[in-house]
Amino acid sequence: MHFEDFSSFFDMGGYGLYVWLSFGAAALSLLVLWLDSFFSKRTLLTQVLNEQARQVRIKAAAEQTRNGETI
Amino acid sequence: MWKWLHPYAKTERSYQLCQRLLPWFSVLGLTVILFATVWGLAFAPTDYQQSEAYRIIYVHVPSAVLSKSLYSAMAIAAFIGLVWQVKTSFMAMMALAPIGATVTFVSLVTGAAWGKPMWGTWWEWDARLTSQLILLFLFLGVISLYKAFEDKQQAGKAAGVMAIVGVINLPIIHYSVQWWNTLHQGATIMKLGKPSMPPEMLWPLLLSILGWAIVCGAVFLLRMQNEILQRDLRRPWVVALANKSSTLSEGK
Repeated sequence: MHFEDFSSFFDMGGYGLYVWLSFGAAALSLLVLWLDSFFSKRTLLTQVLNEQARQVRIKAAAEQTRNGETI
Repeated sequence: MWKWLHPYAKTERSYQLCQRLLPWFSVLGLTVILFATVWGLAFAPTDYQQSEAYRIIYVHVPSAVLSKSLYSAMAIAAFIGLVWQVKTSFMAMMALAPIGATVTFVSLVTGAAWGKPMWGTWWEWDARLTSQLILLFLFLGVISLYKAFEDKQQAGKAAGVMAIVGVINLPIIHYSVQWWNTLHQGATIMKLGKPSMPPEMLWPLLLSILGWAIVCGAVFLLRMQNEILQRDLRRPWVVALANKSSTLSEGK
């Protein structure tokens, strides 16, 4: 390891703010991008299931009214 | 080769290919990026001029390199989509655009955080910085143009033309440090002859570029899947897939 202890590692020769700001911003941006990609996939799949359930309900309702008319 | 490539024009096959590659890209990308970052931050030697501040290079350069490569990839996808009318190609373009925008944003933020201690300013309207900012606007422009159209085929064409026209910015970014007087330093790695960096600094840098590339590849696979799902939302294979994944998550 290049640094002697952890406090000098965090200090980064006095440039700690800028170095950690850069690495923090990069990590945060990549994380947000990944979370967005991951959760949109889940949203899309639930959307498909909701649509499927809706179709089933529409079919059932249509069936019911048809039966009601015949009686 | 065309016979081999042809099935991937079918969305279901592309989706499955993404699914198969995704875990490999994710694990490998994360490993390489962490390894290279720790190496660069804690083990690489210090710079004689900039002392520890130079370590910003290990996020700044990968993000800047990737921003240009992702733009090229997006423009190639747009070109294929426009010329050969390949539907999946426009989807690839739209999967790449947000990744490119994020990476470009990172390069600008890390550049600002490096500029403040070294040049004494967060931002300067100089050639390299401004052309990189234009790159960010091009990515955002492609995304918003695509979203502005209801008909996605038409949206792909319009956004594709914009992506291709924007390619003119890439050589401008690359040569901006030579053509104009700028604060930004010249090329260190991407130039003729030997890179002007000792190997113990260069290796973690090259590795972190590789790591960023693989991570971007993983996010691309994920977003490509989303684009395909979005387009095929009512297709039977997507419905079957949604049912299968919901039973899987209920089983846990």
